[in-house]
Amino acid sequence: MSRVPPVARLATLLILIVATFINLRLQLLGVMIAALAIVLAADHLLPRFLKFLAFVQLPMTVMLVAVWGWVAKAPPGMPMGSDPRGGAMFALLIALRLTVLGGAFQLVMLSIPSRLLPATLRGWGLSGEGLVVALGVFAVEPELKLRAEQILVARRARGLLGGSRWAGLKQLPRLLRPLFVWSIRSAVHRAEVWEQRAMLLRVQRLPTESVPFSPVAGAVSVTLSLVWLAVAIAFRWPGLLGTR
Amino acid sequence: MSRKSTELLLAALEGKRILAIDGPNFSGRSDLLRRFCRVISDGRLYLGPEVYFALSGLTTSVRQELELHAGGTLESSDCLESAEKLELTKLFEQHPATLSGGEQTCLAVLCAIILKPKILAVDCALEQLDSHKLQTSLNLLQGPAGPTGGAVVTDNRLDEWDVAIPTVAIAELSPDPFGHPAIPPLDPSKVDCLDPVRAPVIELRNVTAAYRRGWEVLRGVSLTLQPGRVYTLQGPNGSGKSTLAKVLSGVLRPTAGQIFVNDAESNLSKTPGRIAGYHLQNPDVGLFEASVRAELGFKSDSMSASAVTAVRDAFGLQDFAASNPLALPFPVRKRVSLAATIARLPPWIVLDEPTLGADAATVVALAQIIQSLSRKRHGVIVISHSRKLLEMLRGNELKIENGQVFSGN
Repeated sequence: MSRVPPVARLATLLILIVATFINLRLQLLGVMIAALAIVLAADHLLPRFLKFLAFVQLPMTVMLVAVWGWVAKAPPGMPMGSDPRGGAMFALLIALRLTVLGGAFQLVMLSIPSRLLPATLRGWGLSGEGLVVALGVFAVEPELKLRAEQILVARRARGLLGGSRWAGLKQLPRLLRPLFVWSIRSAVHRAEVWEQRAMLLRVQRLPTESVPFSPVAGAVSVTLSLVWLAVAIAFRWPGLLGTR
Repeated sequence: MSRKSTELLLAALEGKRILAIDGPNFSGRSDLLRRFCRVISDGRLYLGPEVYFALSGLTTSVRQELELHAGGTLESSDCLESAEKLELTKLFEQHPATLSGGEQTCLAVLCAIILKPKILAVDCALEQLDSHKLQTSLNLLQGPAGPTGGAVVTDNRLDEWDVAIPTVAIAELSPDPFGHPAIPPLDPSKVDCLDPVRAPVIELRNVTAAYRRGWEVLRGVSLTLQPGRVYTLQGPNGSGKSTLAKVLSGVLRPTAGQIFVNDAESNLSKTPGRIAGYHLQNPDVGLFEASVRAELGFKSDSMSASAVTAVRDAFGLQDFAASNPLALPFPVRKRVSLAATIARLPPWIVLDEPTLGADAATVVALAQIIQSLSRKRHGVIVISHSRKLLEMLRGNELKIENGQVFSGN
């Protein structure tokens, strides 16, 4: 994915999103998740996807199933308590769709090598403040993670926190305040720095020479996503593609 | 700070490649430089001690940060050579936020130089650099790639620099008294009332530490630390000083080797900060509370109120009890962070660059506090580039290079 040109990358993401929303079959979504996992593994992004599944998607799925299958006991539009299985299936459909979207987003966004990020974002038509914000979004995640680690290190260094992961989890509320304060401070300081250094202009001039994008990789990426869209349409409206 | 001060500064800089402003903490040096650089259209650029805020936050690698500032590829710009001199080329693929304090300073200095400002004001940012990188940075500032109108620097280690540069006293630039509230000096005598502790012997045997697989920062370090002594740890930027501090305090678990505490094998990472408290180089990372009082631990039941009071007074923080630590000037934030570590009275105390932002008088007082702590049988390990502090402490010298620790004595 790393050599997919910006426009093809964006097209791939949009097609995947549309196809996922068209899809109503849990099995198909399962197949898609498996396919995404294979491509993510090839791009060395599988560990991040698995983390996303474990820490975001799994708890959310449990909550959704509990709400629609156990509390409402019906899918939306039906009387409460009329169809617990239907409620649970609806929750699963939403959860699987979100999993596919999460995987697709990770595949398309996180596989952009940092070196190609400005060129890719500019290829999507971003410029000026929009480009600065988008670059900031990509840069902030590793930095926030690092700051969070630093705060935990600092608390441990002062003997305020045990060494276990559980101790770290218990300290989460105490982590949030300094992290929030740091974010605000850094935003204020950086706003000054950006203004003083004319960052808006500089971002436009980030180098684009010899960017190794491959039209073939772009074509393959778009074609595969179109295949997925065709499959989704065929199952949703069997007559539309002559597959009835 | 009057407009006249900035005019006086401009006059003093006239015809010079570099000019240093000498003066103690809170004399108005930083405010003068900030005010001086506020006029963006004049091509003046300010680089303060918080170098991490001087980086753009828009890039995910050192190379990209430099290219962002250069406005083109490094190969096409003339800064590749400067990057090599500052040993940044080997860090090109690293995220700027993951660099050590000294490495971040090198990056921030080079980014500032690349912008080709007319005048560059470097406010105490060079204090984190080892002597080699300090010299290289000064050469770059004065060289053809440096700011065309010259560089103005403030630094608390001016008297330690190997090169003499034109210096002007802050009093000559700022005849009006600076309106900052009086900051009490450090009072080392307050530490004398602390009770002695029984610090253990710590022994490291073949300790290796890494942040990720295959990237070892410490390689087979063996070392025995006796209580009641002061150890000074010196080494180039990025050589592993802070990593060793993290291992000793239990913040970082070694990937190999053993640690013995009083001859018993111990896993320090189970109780981090309890045997050895660690003061981080960057004070802002270690300040969590909304008031200095809470930061020092007055709320904590497990801490002795008299000890906390003694440490607070030793660091001259009695007037700041209700202040938000992060709203205080950098040198005071550093004091709060130091006091917060020491107030818990860990048997061993590891101080990473305790003199950052500290003027000569503060360095002297800090050295006395450290010696008092060692007399109370605390073991103290000091990581510093300040020759003045190291000479005053006359501690057991430890040198670190390429992940190996050597005894310097």
